[in-house]
Amino acid sequence: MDAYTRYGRALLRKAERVLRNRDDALDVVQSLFQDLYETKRDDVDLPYLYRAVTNRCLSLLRDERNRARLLAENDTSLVPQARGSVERIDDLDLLGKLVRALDDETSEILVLHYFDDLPQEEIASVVGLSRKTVGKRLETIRETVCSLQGAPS
Amino acid sequence: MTGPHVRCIGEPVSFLALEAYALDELPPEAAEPVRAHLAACDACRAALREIEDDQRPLPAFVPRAAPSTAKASSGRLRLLRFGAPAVAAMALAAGVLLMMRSGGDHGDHRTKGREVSLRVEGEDPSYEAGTLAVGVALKVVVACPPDLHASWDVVVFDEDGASFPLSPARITCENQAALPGAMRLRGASDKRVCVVWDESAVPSTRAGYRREVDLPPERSRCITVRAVPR
Ligand SMILES: [Zn+2]
Repeated sequence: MDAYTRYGRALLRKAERVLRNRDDALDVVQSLFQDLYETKRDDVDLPYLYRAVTNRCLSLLRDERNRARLLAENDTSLVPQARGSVERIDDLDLLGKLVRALDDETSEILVLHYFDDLPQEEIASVVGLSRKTVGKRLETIRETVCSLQGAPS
Repeated sequence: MTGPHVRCIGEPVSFLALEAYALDELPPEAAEPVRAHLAACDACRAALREIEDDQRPLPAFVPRAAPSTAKASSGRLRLLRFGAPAVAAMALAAGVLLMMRSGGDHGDHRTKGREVSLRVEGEDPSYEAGTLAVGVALKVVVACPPDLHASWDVVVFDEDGASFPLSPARITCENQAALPGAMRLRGASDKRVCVVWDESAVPSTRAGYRREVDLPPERSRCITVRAVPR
């Protein structure tokens, strides 16, 4: 598949930044191309694929959170194992880390803005919030990034 | 990247734009501001360098055999483009949203949907169907027509809102198809347990499913499970 050869690395890097785990990133990208293969879609470009990776990554992260929420506190048998990946520390990398720290809605806004380049109007329609609210959330994200910058991590 | 404390001079160039720039796929009008920002910003330049220096091999993609009856979606894929004028971008956004919500253009999903049913089963044999034993591991089992090739997700609604206990999974439809994974429910309240399926390649984001009414009626089924003391 041409799109895989051309965009695979970019999509892997993106998934890895968001998920902070290379194996999960590989799973996400391979399953995306498997689905494209099964539905015989080949008219895809980088913005489309990048966005599809966002949906899959965020859905994985939500699974982790919700699984943890649904399980009894004393039952850890189904809780995903803690990630042991080595993390580099740098400023743009902070964004990827923040995805995990923020709530579902705010992390989706972060990825759509900083990774996928979506204008605020579009983000608003995707997450179902007003443009103004999206602007405020982005402001919060920016403040969080600034407060984390310079702090040892 | 260069080190821990290199800050972007302003709004960072998005990763998508950096990747497209590295691939030389940005149209000139979008590439120009990126080039200008990169010339002035150490942090974003370092991010670009990291992309260009990434030599890790790309694992081969070997597609698994597709189900023989899988149909290609007849829905035209809509593509987001860089640098589109605001109005066009908004129109595209609406189109993309529509595509994601409708899950492709499958004229027959209403018919298929009528044949779908679900139940939850306890792994514990003492579990009584239709009731919720708090803390018991539960499997979600669906009955669905064999020509339904979809990704399946479970949503549980209670007074706390929506939860997604299982990972979305593609299953082979039959009379008793168990979704992979198990869940345990907490709290003493009754729950609505729903399955939602999606035949498109890119399942829609879960963020829209806050209440049961948000689920697409032609692609979802719900049942109530009642709380019983264990
Ligand atoms: Zn910058």
